[in-house]
Amino acid sequence: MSHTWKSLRASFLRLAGVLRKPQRDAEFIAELESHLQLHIEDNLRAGMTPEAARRDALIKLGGIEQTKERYRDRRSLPVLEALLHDWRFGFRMLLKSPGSTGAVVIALALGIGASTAMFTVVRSVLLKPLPFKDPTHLIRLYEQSPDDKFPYNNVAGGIFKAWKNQSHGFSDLAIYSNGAEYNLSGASGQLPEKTRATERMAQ
Amino acid sequence: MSDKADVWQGTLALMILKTLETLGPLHGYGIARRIEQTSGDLLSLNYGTLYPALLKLEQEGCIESEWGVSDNNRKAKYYKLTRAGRKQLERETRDWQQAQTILAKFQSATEPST
Repeated sequence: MSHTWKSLRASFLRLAGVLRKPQRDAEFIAELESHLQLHIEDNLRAGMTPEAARRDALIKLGGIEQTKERYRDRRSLPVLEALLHDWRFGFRMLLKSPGSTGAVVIALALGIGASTAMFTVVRSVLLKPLPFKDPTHLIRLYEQSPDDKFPYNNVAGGIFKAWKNQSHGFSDLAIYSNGAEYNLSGASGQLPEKTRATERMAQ
Repeated sequence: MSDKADVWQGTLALMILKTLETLGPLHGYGIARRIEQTSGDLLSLNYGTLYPALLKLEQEGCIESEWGVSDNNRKAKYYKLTRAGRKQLERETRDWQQAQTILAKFQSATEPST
């Protein structure tokens, strides 16, 4: 448990390290300088010449730049740092040429808008299921006149009743007629509206 | 280059913690020298590798750092063990002792038992 907590804490600090870059860079440089000075002084006390003392200290450290590099890698998250750097760079480049940026933005906006509109239509027409219990099993029945002159005739009420009573292939049957219009008025002072509706008889 | 051993992965943190426990607050250079001396100069340690390790320990909350002044009046960043660090040291020491015990058993068991 405490191990998880430790690495969580470390990750969080590394994430924060992405932000406070310059100060922490300066602090580590100061720390490295103090390290080298301490080492050089020790070497001088051991009887080395100043150049040799400095050279030895640098060799034992393993290179200033390499050390800084390794330290930076550990301090923050290099991947995230690079990503932020790329973003900033990209943003600056966009600002540099507002004309082409504008054109691209408009093109993208139109493209996204058009796709959204298309998708809205496709969704409501093709994808969104009908508001019935078992939409894939819906079937529409018509009456057809024997001479084929009226293939999609409305069914008469009595015939519907006979279908309903005598057929066993359907779990339910309903009848509706199209094209009626009604005036609806709101209950608490809303304006009346004319709506198209279908009459439907379920049971 | 030489027949000095490199520092094994993961052992550097333990050496740092142990050094800080023994000597109290110390700067990076002091820790590096101490580790080298304690190993009887058998260990080749790039002092530079110490700093990322110190940073990691600090991020994990095992040590704390603070700027101070060294014996010969130099500014230096001092590291000291925290309570969490002390616990971590205990745990890691235990783990190492266990690993050593196991390995020792393997080494003494070279003769097939009859």
